[in-house]
Amino acid sequence: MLSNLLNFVENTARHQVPLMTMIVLVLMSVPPLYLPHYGGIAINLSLIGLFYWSVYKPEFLHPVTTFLVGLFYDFLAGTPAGMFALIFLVARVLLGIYSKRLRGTTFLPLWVGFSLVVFGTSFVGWLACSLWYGELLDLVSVLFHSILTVALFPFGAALLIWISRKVYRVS
Amino acid sequence: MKINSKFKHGSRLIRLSFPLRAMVHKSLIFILVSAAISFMVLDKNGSATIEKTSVVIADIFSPILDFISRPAASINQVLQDLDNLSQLHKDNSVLRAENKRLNDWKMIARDLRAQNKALKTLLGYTGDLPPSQITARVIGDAAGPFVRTLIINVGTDRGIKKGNAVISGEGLIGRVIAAGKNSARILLITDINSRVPVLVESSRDRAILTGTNAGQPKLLFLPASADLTEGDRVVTSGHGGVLPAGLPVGTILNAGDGNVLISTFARLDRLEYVRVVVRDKIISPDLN
Repeated sequence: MLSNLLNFVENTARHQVPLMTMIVLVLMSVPPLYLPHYGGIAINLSLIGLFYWSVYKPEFLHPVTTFLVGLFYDFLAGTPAGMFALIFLVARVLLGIYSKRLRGTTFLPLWVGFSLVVFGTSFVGWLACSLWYGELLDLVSVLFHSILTVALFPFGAALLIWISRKVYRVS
Repeated sequence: MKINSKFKHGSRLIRLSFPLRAMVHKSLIFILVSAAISFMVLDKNGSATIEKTSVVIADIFSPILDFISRPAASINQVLQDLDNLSQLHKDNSVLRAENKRLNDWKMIARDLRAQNKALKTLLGYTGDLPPSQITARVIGDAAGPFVRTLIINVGTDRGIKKGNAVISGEGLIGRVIAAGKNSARILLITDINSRVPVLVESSRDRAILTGTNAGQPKLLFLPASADLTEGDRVVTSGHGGVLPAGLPVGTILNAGDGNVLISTFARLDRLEYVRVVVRDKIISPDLN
């Protein structure tokens, strides 16, 4: 009975790894870096987690989990509540449809796929915020924000691959 | 035969469950999308519950954010110290000259202070109580191009209240828009939602300073007859009673046609420590 309980705990913990990593990535995105002009283009690391787990472990990243992480990001970052919850949810659903195709590719097409997700979500965020405030936001900042997030994908993905190998024992 | 019929029955069940699961999945997505839109509508209408939830979440995670932000803060301090060391000789000369100039001003300021005190006594003038200041560390700066807010590591337990002005060593940086027990959120003057009543020091023209979420904030509602010069100082006017008057904001960047942009005194992209000006809001008298 003890071994059954331990197995249950271990399986439950494995299921929560995507959620935990995304929460950690949100927390790592929030503190300031004190770089000149960084605040205006601060990156959202949780997009890397959202992309990776949606492609490789979609069964462990439920839409409800994605929604809650997006809402958590909204409350911490100060963006309109529900905005990134909606953006993350839409991204998750679209990635869920294309995940099989992306899973079988090499790193470069994966990076391109991530770029499309980042630029897409940033544009939607820009549009939503512009409608929210009734005034067009600066698109250049959004562009630099997207470029910076895309540039960090290899590092974020390397970390998540390492975690995946340790937790799920995949090659 | 029994086994075959069991398989037949099982596969029928499996065939039925796939469309059902797809329908449940689509309904769930629809519910979550509706929930997200509902949150946005509630937030737009200024829901107190949303604000409270945001404050509670910032409060719960502020110790973690404080811890995570320390390595970057330490590296920033070392780099600043190295930068200061390299400029030591040059800064020394500049500071000596400024010290001499300020010593001359000190004598003038003493005379003016004595005159001011005498005139106040003569007129029976009742001034504002001097505000107190609380130093805080910036532990959050996340939203990038969408929102320009900061999270600091002090809250209502140190006397911080919604509406308090926040300054750096150089000038105004924003105001508190939400305060939890041990953290608070600041809306920067460069945020698109920010509205600060200001006046141009030289001409005494009043305006509203508003942010653009990028670069420099601008002045709105300037009088048509405003006579502005590049380099004119802009300070808070104190109108509305929320922010104290006289807090330095910046200087005018361009005084021509079109948007009047302000170059802020405070370096908003490298804030590590800020000061919250704690002062009670002045409430307008009831005219009934």
